[in-house]
Parts: sequence; C-alpha cells; structure tokens
Amino acid sequence: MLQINDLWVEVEGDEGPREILRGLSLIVKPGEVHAIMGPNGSGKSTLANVIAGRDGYTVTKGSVIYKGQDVLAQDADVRARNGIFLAFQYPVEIPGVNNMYFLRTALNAKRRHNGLPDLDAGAFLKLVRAQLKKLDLKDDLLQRPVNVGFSGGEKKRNEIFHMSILEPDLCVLDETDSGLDIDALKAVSDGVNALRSPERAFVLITHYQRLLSHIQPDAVHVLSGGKIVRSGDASLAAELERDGYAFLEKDAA
Amino acid sequence: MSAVAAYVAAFAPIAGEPDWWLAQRRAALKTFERAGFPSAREEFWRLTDLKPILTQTFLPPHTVDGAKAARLVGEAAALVPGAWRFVLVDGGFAPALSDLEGLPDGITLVATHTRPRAVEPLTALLPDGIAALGVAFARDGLVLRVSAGLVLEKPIHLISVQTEAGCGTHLLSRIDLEGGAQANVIETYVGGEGAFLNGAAHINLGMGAHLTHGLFVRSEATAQIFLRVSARVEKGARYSAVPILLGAQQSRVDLAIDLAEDHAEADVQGLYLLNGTQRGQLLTEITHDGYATRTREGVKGVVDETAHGIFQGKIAVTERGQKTDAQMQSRVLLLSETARADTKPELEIYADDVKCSHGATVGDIDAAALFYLMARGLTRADARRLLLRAFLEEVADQIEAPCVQQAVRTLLATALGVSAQEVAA
Repeated sequence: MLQINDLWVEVEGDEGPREILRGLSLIVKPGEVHAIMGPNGSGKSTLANVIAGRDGYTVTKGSVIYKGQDVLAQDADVRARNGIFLAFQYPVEIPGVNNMYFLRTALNAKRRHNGLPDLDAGAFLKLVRAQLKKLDLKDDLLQRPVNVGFSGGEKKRNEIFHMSILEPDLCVLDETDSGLDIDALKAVSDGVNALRSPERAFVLITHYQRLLSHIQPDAVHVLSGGKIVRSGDASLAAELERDGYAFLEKDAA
Repeated sequence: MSAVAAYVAAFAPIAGEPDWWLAQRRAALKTFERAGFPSAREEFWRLTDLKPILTQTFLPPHTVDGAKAARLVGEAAALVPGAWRFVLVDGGFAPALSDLEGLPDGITLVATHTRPRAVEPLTALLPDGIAALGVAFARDGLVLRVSAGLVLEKPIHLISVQTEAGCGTHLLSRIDLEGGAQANVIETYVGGEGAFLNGAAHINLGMGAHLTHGLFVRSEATAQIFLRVSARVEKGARYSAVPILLGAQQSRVDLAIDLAEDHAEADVQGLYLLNGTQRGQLLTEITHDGYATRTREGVKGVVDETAHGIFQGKIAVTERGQKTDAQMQSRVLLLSETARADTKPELEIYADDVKCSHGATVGDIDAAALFYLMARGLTRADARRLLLRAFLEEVADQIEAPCVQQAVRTLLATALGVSAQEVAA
C-alpha cells in the first residue's frame, strides 16, 4: 500500500532550509494500522504533510510509493482522489463554504475519478445521516461553514466524518487525538475502528499512547531526529507510555 | 480636431425636445467646452484611466441593431425574474422590449425625454466635464416616482444595452421615493464594443423611505462604463446601494450619499471581480449631516492577471452629525503578481460624539484553506473557485432584499463559472 524509502525532507525556515526528515523508511501493507510516535519536533507532522502533498516541503532524497506509484510528483488533489486521506492536526476553518456541499463536491470528484456517476443530493443525504449517527455528530454541523464555530472535538470528529464518507484506502491521522476529551476520543476511535478493513491501511501519528488503547495497532514506530529509531508491536506503545522517550537520549549518548 | 471639438461639432437638437431643454443641453455643452475632461491630477480621477476618454470621440449612435438588442436584453432580464422591466437601447427608451404591465396607482415610471424637468438637479450642478458632457448629449433615462407609503411588490429592472460599437450613450435618471415608500431598483449595464456609457442619477428618499439600488456592470470587455449617483436621504430613510463591477474594460461607479436628516442610513455592499487588463473603480462619499445617522459599507474585490481594482471611500461627518455610527470595510484578494489594488478609506469628522471605523485588507487566497480543500480531492481550480465564491458571497449575504441578493448570487455564479444548481445547494 505505502512504501517510503530513505526519505529526506527540508523545510524553508527563517534561517534557510532545515532538514526535518533524515532517511525515513516505512512499509505499510493493506489492512494494517501503524502508529508513529515520537517527541515534539521529531518530524511526525512533516511526514503526514509530505504523504498528503502539502506545499512548502522539499524532498531532497528518497521516494514515497503508494499503490505502486511515486506520489511525490503528484498534486495533493490527485493523491486524495487516488485514496490518500489526511486527517488534519488543525482542521482549517473555511467561512462561506458549506460543510455538506464541500463534502459532496469532494466525494463526487473522487467518484468521477473512479469512473462512477455523481451521487445526487438525496442519496448523499442518506449516506451522510447514517455516518453522522455513528459518529454522534449533530446534524447542524452539516449546514454550517466548514469547521467554522466548531469546538475542538467537533473539528476532529468532522475529520473522521469526512474520512468515513470519502472511504479512502490510506488514512493518515495527524495527532487526531490531541485536545480531545474522553467522549470525543472514543467517538474518533470508534470511527476509525469501524473503517478498518483488509483493504484499508492507517498511519496514526500521535504523541500519546492513549489513542492506541482504543485502536489496536499492528506496529508502533518511534520517530526521532527525522528517522525511525525503533519499531515494535503494540507493547512498544505501552512501554513508551511508562518510560517516556528518555531512552532516545541514552541511545544518542 | 480635438475630442472636445468633435463633441461640440456633433451637437444637434433632438426631434421633439422642448426649447428650454435644448437650451439647457446647449449650456451644458458650453460648460463642457470650457471645462474639458477631468485631469489625472484631480484626486477622484487620479486612478481612472482617462486615456480612452481623452483620445476617442464617442459620438451618439446612428442605428439600433434590434436583434442584438433583443438578445442582450433577454440575457440581462433573466437576472431578475418577475420584475418590471425598463429598457434603454443605445440611450433611448425601448417600449417594445420593456414590460411595465400592472404598475400600481401611485407609481410613475416614465422615460426622461417625456419629463426632462425631473432631472434638473443633474443639470443644475455640473461637477466636471464628464457630467456636463452627459447633460449635453443626454437623450433619455428613467424617471421613477413612488408615492407616500407605497411598497412595491416587484423589483424594477432597468436594462441599458448598447448595440453600436464605439458610440457614446449618456443617461440621466431620477428616482424619488416619497415618505415611507419602499422599492428595489436594479440597473444592469451591458456596454457595447469599444463604447462609452455615461450615466448619472439623482435620488431623493423621503422620510422613512427605503430604496435598495443595484448597479450591475456586466459589459462587453472593451466598454467604458461611468456611473454617478447622488442620493439625498431624509429623516429615518435608508439607501442601500449594491454596486457590482464585473464586465467592461473600465467601470467607474461614483456614489455621493447625503444623509441629510436625523437617523438617515446608508448601506453599501459592493464588489468587483476583474481580470485581463480590466480596471474597476468604486468611489463613495457618504456625508453624515443629521443626528444619529448610520453607515454600513462593505466592499470586496478580486483582481487577477494585470487588472486593477480601486476603492476610494470617504465618510464625512459635519458638525450636525453627532452620534454618527459609520463602519467601512474593504477586503481585496490579489490573484496574481501583476494584479493591482488601491484602497483608500478616508474619514473627515467635524463632530465630537461619533463612532467611525474603517478597515482594509489586501491578500491572497488562504493557502491553508486551499490545501485543505485539495487534500479532500478538489482540483486546484475548483478549490480556488469555491474559496473565491465564498469570499464574494459574503457580500450577497449582507443584502437584505431577496431579489437583489438572488441577482447578485446569479451574477457571481456566472462570473465564476459555477452552475446555478451548485449555488442552490
């Protein structure tokens, strides 16, 4: 599904380019859930943004292969229509753009890309109502402008809602758990678990272990200094929660 | 021959006009001859591209292309369904294309040439050469009078089209709402190829009256459209102007609003959407000359390629304007490196107990929002279109009169290439 080979990435900073990812490699197979953990500044969000195709990052070396294609040359929208989804750490407020209208436009863009006919308003509404119920989201979020006036929890739930409607193949969740209360965390986790399938893969980027007590990962990776320094199974997350990231400094020393 | 001399030479009496009116036009021609065209050294003309006006002579049209007129009017009429339609073709009233069926008692809606007395406020005061030229060559326009307390159920849609290329059309209009009357008047200007349209209107709103006044420029790309409105707003009356600058090589809308009495109000919700080498200029001067008068003004602009958008907004408060409450906002998006916007808000206050504010921003499309939409699968073009529409639709959201609001939404949908069905969604 996703194969990242020796990825080196720079961002333009105030004092010239800064290297954020330094030789990151990762393989994610269909059906798997991979958690990427690590301290602040380790490059977690950069990884999510580079996979999704955000501007402002320069890949100096390496490749990101998704379904056999190198996606680095593709614009973000092409990647999205091909089934990559990024749940934003900070979902953007877009005044004047109706949430429901936007989501239908996005879904139909993807359907057209896949040679399917547009979904009409009635069919779309039916689909949407069912998902809203599952995510315990209020109806009125649909009629409001995208993320405008949403609480922090509502924004994150709205991301999962978009994800469940667009049915991507590769879901990248960038700190979706941060800032959530326990109910919102449960709703988000339930949403993710409901989407798990043998054809779909997840990359969960998180600072904390607590999301992983709701979503059982197949693999846990520790990102530090721009590359993966440790990988393991779900028990690694529990170990990190107990001992923290202190071992990184020990390793460095 | 200079442009001025060419106009003087082209001056001719119009069949059937009263002698006193011909004399007034002739006097205006003299004023024009003396004053000439405005110069770029004058503050309110500094940012206008005067070259086409100075170097060409836009003479009165000779022939009307009836088929073309019918087509242009048909297109424009669709913008405001169910309206009383008042059509001017090449500057003259066209009864056959108009639809004034079922006008109620108490409303006068006639062509200016039948009642030139009504536009005397425009002939009495000639602020510059272009105004003088307009009077000298005026053939027609709209005269509307709504009697006290009458609320018009249907909007009035003035449609002005030009069918002959390179000609000049000059319109003089007058709108009067007596006390408590309410009306929605939309004016759509479809300019001709390389043509010049010079329109002036005087408006008087009696006590407690409310006029919503759409001024839509959706012209041939090569036309020059200059509109000037002076409005006098009496006690507790309200003037809501909606200038929308979309077409034309150059459009210039100049609103002078006099909040002459206590509790008078002005709303201006304007926008310009320009590309290519277009220039759009909105000038407003709102004078607060009564107690507790109020202004709400919002202007939005989108400028692409090498186009140039201009907003010059002045709010003046006289010594009598205590408790004035005035807010003026301008937001512009520049979509290319070569696009240009000039925003000049100005406050001139001679009263001490007032609340006046203005704000102006110029920026680009929000990169974070663009990425968010693209990351959900919208193409860059679709994402930009959606964001532009959202930005400009905020202007429509502020318009209270549903027919004017809907017309603005339709205009935007057409201009941004979004289907009407999408807009309804």
